[in-house]
Amino acid sequence: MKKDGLQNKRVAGWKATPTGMLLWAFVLVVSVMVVGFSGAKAVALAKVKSHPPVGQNASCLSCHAAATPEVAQDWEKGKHGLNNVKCFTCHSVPGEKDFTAIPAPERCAACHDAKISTFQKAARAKNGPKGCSSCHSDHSLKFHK
Amino acid sequence: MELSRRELLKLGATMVAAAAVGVKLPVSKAEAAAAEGVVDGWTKTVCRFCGTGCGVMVGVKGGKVVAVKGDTENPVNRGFVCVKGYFLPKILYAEDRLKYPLIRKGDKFVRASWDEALDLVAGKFKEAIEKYGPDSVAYYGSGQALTEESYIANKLFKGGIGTNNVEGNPRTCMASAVVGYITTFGKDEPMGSYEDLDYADCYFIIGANMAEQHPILFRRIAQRKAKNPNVKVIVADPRYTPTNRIADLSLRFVPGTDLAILNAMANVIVQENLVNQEFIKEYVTFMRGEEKVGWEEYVQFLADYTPEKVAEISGAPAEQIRQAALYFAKAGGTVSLWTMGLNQRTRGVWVNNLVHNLHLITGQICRPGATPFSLTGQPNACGGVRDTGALSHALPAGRVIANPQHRAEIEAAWGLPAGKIAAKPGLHTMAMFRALEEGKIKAMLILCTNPGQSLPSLERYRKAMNGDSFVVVTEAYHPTRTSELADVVLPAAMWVEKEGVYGCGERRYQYMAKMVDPPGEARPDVWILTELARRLGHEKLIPYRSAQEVWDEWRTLSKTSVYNFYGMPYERLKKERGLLWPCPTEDHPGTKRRYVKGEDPLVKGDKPIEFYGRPDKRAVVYLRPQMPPAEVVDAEYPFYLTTGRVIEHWHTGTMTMKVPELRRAVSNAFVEINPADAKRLGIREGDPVKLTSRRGSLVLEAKVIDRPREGLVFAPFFDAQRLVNLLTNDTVDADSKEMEFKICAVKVERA
Repeated sequence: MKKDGLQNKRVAGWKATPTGMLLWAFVLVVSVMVVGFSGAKAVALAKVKSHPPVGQNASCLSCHAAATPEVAQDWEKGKHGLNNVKCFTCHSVPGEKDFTAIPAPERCAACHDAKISTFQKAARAKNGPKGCSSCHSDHSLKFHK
Repeated sequence: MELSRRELLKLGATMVAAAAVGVKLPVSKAEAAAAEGVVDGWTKTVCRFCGTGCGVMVGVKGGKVVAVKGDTENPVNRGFVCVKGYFLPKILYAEDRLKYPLIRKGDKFVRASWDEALDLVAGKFKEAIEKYGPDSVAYYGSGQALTEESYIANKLFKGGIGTNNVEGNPRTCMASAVVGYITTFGKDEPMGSYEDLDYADCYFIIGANMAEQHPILFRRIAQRKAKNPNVKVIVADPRYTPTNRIADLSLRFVPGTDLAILNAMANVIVQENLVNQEFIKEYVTFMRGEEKVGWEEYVQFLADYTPEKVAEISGAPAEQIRQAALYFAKAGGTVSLWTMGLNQRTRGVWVNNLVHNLHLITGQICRPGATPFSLTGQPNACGGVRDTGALSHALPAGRVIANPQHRAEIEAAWGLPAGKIAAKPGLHTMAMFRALEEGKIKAMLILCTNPGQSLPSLERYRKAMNGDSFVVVTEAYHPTRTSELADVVLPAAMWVEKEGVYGCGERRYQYMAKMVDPPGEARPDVWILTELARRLGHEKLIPYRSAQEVWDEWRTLSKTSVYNFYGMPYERLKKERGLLWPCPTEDHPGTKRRYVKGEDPLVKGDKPIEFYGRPDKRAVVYLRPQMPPAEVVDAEYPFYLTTGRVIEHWHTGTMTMKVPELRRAVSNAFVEINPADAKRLGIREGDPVKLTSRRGSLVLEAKVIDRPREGLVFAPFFDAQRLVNLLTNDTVDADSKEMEFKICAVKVERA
């Protein structure tokens, strides 16, 4: 389960490259190769096809506080943490078909509709932003990370 | 990034696997629709969940709700939704939506036609009324029903059938706040509005976990605090909650000692000379019960409540109590906010009075950023039930059964013969369910609520509902812990499947449009009640063909009252993001601050403030002593249990537990226990813990966490499989008849 946490961290670190946003699994394997994990880790990660099953009363944070501490802490310090906009709001939950590591900007529209429109316009330009995290840090959500 | 063909092939397998679990962009059909602008349109409405009344825009595609977003034009939430509101579309398409009427045959429910089901219901009600009289039937409604629905039910039962046995879940939730406002100010409902949150310098949050239960209003306070570092937030609660995150001062006191704390704060305010004598001279009177007393007696009464003495019983340090009083009194504007922590108590009314006292002796009232504001739990408890008087002691627009003049006014308005409305108030909620238990209530209609999970001392009342009396439930879902006990279950339309009005916690009435059809044969409750009325022979009293006709009648009836919202026809409400009453004419902008001259059209005198609800136009400061809860801990039951909610789930979870994201996030009830207590009892995180009260026992998973103070445990009530209300106390407040859900004594042991 903790291995899974590693994926997320790599994903977060990799996203800002100009290559843009790709499928989660794609990112995972690419990051394994590019960032250069040790061979053993790479094998272990490549085997993870989806989020491991989650126990009955396990909240996201019950694993991710330890598995991805930076993510958990950034979230908590940021506005989403303060206002209790929890992980599942943007990422959905394991087992649901829209569960994702990298939420599409449209997923934010329920609260940030106007900003999504601005983003969509900007994204059409050459070298425009590729996703919310082009400008906002992932979980603390600070502008111009 | 260049990848070789071999690498790409290797990647392929992973990608297919990823696609199989749906890891793709955009993340869902709903969002794709919204993003590409292919929804058929966006229509404004109000969130279905709590009492905040957030505006949401609903995107419909091909007759289905496919997306929701916060309504940026709505001043309540300015475009934001909480984690529950985010998932609103999913509550409509749950697998257990009830599509057809059901009739119980033995142990089974059998599908029936509407005619068959309604004829059976009407027949059973008629039979009971003929054999045992009108008081043998009862209605138990909801602060989630539309205003039009509650209005019809109230009229049918009180004006048609002739019984005042009309109750509803608002009794379990804000009855103490109602009586608190009425005793202090003469009229129900807050005088302030949410706008006051944008002007306050001090927030006194007591008995409310706003971060989880009113997250959008919490956000507003957090934002104000972030931008204005001088703003102070006081959080007073027996439990630390996420709300404490913005607190400058956290008072974690022994449950039930808040009356003493509030008196001690008043004491400090008096001792420190922070009293607004001018305000008191103009607008305040002092009373001990029904007896008028003077300022000196009030000061003398407070002398018992020194911070040091109160610290001993409350466990809140004297210095904190003193500091809270200073913050409260010295701020440019102070808003108090409370919810069930104060209301669900056997001294709920008194503790409400004591909060009002603090505002009255300091003059922290009736100006921007200064008001005592009772937050509401349900989306239409205020507008639908409080204002329409759909409770056993009440009549529309602040009238009461006990007053013959009020009965006569309503009889005239409803075209009834004089004396038709029974002079005796009906049974309050607990008395009603006890009458059901005793077999005195022969037929009961339960609409849009889940007492089979939400009543205290639950086992007893579940048995009562499962007994020989005839119980009809209108529900959007089946089974619920109530519908499973019913004789007939009628499928109800919900939220945007019907039209009507919701009135939220700040006196704001908002129109909700019908946008999609209900599933199967489900029908709006307005239709169900009208059809039932017709079958009971009351079609002249309940002649409505639409919700709008009901609204227009109610709007006209309000004209002669302080609730006057005649200026809010559907046509206007369809354009506005709601309006706050009083709003007497269509060109009136609504009233943000009641009792204030120039803002409230009902203020007729010359003074800047007029508490016109009281005969002497003065609000009352009551001398209310500390009183213990109904159950105090002892050697056998050494812990206090308090119950409540989590942000993911709303009330009994019939809606939120159908949303996979919310269900996954918190799927079971648990029990929070302080680490020191856990250590002493040998309880570790995740251990099964048995809680036993005088009424029942329950095993829950332990969450060892420094949230409840030592000697206190907390459990939420959303979980239909682990019913924490088996343990809670059904003793009621003497004045409001609200139950003491928030405090009971329990034994705690490792199971």
